[in-house]
Amino acid sequence: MSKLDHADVVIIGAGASGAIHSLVLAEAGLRVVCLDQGGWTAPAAHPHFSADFQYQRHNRWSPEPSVRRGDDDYPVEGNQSHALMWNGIGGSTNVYAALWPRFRPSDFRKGDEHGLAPNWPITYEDLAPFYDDADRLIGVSGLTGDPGMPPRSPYPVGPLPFRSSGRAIARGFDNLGWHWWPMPAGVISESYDGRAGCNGCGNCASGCPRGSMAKMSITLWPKALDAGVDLRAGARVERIETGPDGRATGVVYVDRATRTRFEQTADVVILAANGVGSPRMLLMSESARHPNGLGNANDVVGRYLLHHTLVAAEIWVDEPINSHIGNSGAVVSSEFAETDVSRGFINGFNFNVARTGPAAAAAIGSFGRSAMPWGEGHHAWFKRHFGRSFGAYAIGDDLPQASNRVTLSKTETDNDGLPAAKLYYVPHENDTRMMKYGMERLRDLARAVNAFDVAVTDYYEDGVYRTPAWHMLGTCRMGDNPETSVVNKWHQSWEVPNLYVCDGSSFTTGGVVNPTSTVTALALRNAQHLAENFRVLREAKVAQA
Amino acid sequence: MIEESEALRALTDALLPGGEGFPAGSETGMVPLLMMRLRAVDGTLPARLLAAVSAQGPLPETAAGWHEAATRLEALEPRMFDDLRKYAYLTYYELPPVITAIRALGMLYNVAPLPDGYPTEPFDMERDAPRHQRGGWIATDAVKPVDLSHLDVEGFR
Repeated sequence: MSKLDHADVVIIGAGASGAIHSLVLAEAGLRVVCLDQGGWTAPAAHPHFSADFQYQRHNRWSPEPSVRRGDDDYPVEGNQSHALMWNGIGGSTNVYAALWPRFRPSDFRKGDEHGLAPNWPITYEDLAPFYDDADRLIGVSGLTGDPGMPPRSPYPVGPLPFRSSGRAIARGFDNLGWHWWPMPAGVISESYDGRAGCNGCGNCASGCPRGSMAKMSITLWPKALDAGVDLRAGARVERIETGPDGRATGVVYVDRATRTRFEQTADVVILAANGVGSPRMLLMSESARHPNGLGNANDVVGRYLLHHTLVAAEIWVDEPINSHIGNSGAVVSSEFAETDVSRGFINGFNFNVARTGPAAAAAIGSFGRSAMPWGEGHHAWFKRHFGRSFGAYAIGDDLPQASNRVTLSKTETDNDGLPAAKLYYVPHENDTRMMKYGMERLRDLARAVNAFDVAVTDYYEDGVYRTPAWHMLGTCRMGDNPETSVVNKWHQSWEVPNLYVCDGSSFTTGGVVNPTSTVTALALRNAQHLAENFRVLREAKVAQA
Repeated sequence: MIEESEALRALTDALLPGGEGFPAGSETGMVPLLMMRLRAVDGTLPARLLAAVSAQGPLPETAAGWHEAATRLEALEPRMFDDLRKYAYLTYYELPPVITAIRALGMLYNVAPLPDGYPTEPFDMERDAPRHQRGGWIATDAVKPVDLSHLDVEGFR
């Protein structure tokens, strides 16, 4: 095994969090090495330029590694989850939707509200300035003045084109007297920071080779490289090493191109490998000193997996709304976001209302069980339905449960022999109640737009709730109690004080929104804290609450 | 092998028989591509499809017979049928004759999303911005304990 020059910081994962940490810490003058097991995804490699782009979404451009089966990936076992994950430079921003709403203040205080989930160790106010700064760094579009959210700084660019689809959706919410607002998006509506604005191509589902949608390999990595980050693609980390003092000493990785193993030592290790990859890495780093996995003496690593609750409807209206055109996200509604126990459950959900995509996506059913009929009636059905639908998701705050977790597979491995991740996830009864309620509200929405057809799905398959919420959160959660959390409010491992975990796994609860905006705000907050306090933190012997 | 291909052609036309300005599946030239894609899912899938239809009796000789065969396949082998339908639709809707038929409905529809994209009309503040003042949020300091006593949920009591 070859030993490399010592670094100040080694970062595992080059996705949204890894890119932000790399940029900030390198600009602060630190020697930063970032490792990612995957490679670069060139713009031309996206399927957008090919007629078979919809087919590709179901194999090599599937968001799910277990479908894609790429060399860069590791398998994810479990039939109760759909894990959105891309292993490569830019991470899952290569293949996400870039819906960019923020957490609400109450999302951080569920311990105070009902105690069936803990408080975050930070508040909305702690994070708000970093939301703003991250938005400016990344390029986010939206409309200020939302009465359903705390005041915020102006968006870097104005909202995306609303189109006839957005207007039809908004009318439904107006008819119901429900809150709605144009969806904030990590998609720029006009040129920003050298990138071109969205041209409405309608294929957000497979990322954005133009860079209009924030794809960190385009959005941030060129800046991070300019700042001097040593980014190594195809570098698959096997384990995080620790020394006799219990501190991390660095990582061991395999360069997949040369099959050479390297040891990269560093003063600080940052784990940013997503809500499945990060706990997997900690569990793979077991040793005599850490027999239960690194940072896992309290057996919390991998537990409290959150996916969000999700139910959805595809709703068809008479007027042509060209729902294959434009960015995916159209409208967000926080009408049901706060807890109201009179509904029969705690926590709440948002509506994400989206355009439904091109012809094949419509035909096979974009939103679950709404595949077009086959046979004689197919074409008449297509003519009546295509271009006239929108999709509404009720995305809810699921309760963290210790039994929902990421573990290591005992049977499957990646192509380097490292154990696959195994996911177990069953919604809480409270979550199930919220989903049933959400389905009824989706039907209300369909009635409010005078829909001529609606297909509502609960995402149960053979009696198993298989959520396609995609998000993977909570598995190395932040907290102020070392017994019940993995990291403190600065993402610092309670057990290994120079090890930081900062990505979706750090979430204490999941909120009612897509997580990437919060991932980037957390990453920016943590990176700036590290940069400002590095002299002290590099020698930390203990993590403070 | 020829039988597999012929069976797939007939099943394709049962699923997508043509009409309303749209071509039948086989008229688009989609069958070889579909065959390749089904084999990519599972190398034995075309053979299993043929076997499933053959198990019903002699292979049908009419379109109506193949429609009946597809109906039984959907009932008896739903997962296999779902794969067939999914990849048939994915393949059909990317082919030029079908794109032409979609455009004939009067809508803009690109063969591929890029490079062209679609015409964009900026967000119109006068027309598109919400006029309502609905919505609210609970400030950090205003978060108060809720009463769980009436919620009959396991773990809450």
